[in-house]
Amino acid sequence: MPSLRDIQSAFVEALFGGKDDWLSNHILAGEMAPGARLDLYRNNVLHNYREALRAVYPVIERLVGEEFFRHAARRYGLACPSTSGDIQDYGRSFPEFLATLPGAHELPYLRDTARLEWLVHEAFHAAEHGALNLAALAAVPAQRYPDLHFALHPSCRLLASHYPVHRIWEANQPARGVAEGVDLRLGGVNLLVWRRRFEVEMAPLPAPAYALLQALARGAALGGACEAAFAAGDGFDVGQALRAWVLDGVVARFDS
Amino acid sequence: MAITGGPMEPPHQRLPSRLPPREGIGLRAAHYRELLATRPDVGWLEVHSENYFGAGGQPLHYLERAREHYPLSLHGVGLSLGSVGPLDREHLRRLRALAQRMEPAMVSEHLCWGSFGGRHVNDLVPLPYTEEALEVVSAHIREAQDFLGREILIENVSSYLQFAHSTIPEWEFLVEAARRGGCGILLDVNNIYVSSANHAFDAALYLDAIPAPLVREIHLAGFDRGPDCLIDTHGTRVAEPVWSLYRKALDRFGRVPTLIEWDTDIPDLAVLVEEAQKARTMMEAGVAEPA
Repeated sequence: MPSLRDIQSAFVEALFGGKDDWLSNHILAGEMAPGARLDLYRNNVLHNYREALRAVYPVIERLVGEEFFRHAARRYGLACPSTSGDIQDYGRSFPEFLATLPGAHELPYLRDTARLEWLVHEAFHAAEHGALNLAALAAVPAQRYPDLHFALHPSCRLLASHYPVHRIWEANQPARGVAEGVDLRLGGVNLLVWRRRFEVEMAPLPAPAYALLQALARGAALGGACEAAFAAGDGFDVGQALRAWVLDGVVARFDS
Repeated sequence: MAITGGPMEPPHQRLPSRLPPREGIGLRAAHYRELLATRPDVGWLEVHSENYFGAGGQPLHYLERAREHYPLSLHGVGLSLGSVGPLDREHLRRLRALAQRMEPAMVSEHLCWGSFGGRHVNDLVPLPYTEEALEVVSAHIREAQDFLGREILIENVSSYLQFAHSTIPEWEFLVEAARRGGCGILLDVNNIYVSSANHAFDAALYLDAIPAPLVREIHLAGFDRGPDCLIDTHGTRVAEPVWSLYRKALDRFGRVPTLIEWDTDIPDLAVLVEEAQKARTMMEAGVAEPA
């Protein structure tokens, strides 16, 4: 009698493209051949995977079309099986996989657009956080500001792309009718993605603002983060930016 | 084969299940707002536990609002109780955190497996019904219950294959897994029907093999007809022969909390409520409360 370990190992192998002759010998035939029964499970699994990808990557599906998406999801499913019992964790590496598919080079912005969709997915499910304590901040003497550590809201994600991915994302929302074209000459974008209450928001940022948030996200104190911001460009008002981020729930906490 | 039966575990101090003996519906994202705005007259709600494994945001918010008005059941699809090797502790931790936050009336999982060696198929694959599998799954049930600090239910799955080396009929395997694991049974009447058609056994005999005190919840759902077998899609209304089987189940098990499950091609909320009303009518048609 085969062990449970051998059966489960062979089943998973067979499902993801390996041999199934040994396993087939341990499956009753009846009305359907064992291979056809395994096909049924394989198709169910790949269907579940694809539906999970469709939920996270609706803009990609719209950009490449249903047929290509189906093909891409099948290849991805066979190459990169899920590693979690929670299907909502599935698909993190889909952007990189997409970029390797034949035909994907015709849409050079595909990978970054997919990355943006994954970040939106992460932001949607990220933890809550209350508003920053403004009264406590006001009580801090100004000379101590450079030493303060500001923490971003748990939903905050940063994405830099050579393509206007926020415009592409916006123009290809499933709820929209015909997608308007996006002029790629608009160029790249430094993007902040975060969730305000339940809605995921995104904002393109000037280079210094982006550098500041990146530094804060890495755990730098405000003084060091400002140096990074000023190195990235001129004419940046740190005080104004911080106030706006506090009001928008981007900067969520500070520790002295 | 006669089942020898392992020693019964000493009873743990666990939260009992508290679902009302009424009809329930599955809560899906498409219905959050309408459900909260109209509060249809159903007895309780069930959700897939993993859909609320995120740290925050809209899903958890709506679930918290919904549980203010309805008893809640958490139904897991990804714990993989039947996999060899250790249970996924991170998965269990997320489930426990959710259960602590939502204080559900019921927590259930499936009698099946879905992962091996870190690869998850996110599907419900049947086990070979053997003594070895019985030991694996019942040890995992006990482990999950100890970790969660509460009783769980295990649900029979529908299947499209049977292993040649199975030595125990599925119904006996289900009962024995529940006995050795010290848990209750969530009996999916649609799954019994689908599997009975696919594997040519008598669905009524299946029901007769299940001791009534073990059955704490019933599932009803719709299936589709594939070219060679019935496919458990949860995407249509409950079929007529499944309603007949449900009547038999009510005769045998009494008034058990009954869920209308619908996971694909989600219809209007009104359709779910209508199906649930049908179950309620059957429950009320002269069936006494279980002793």
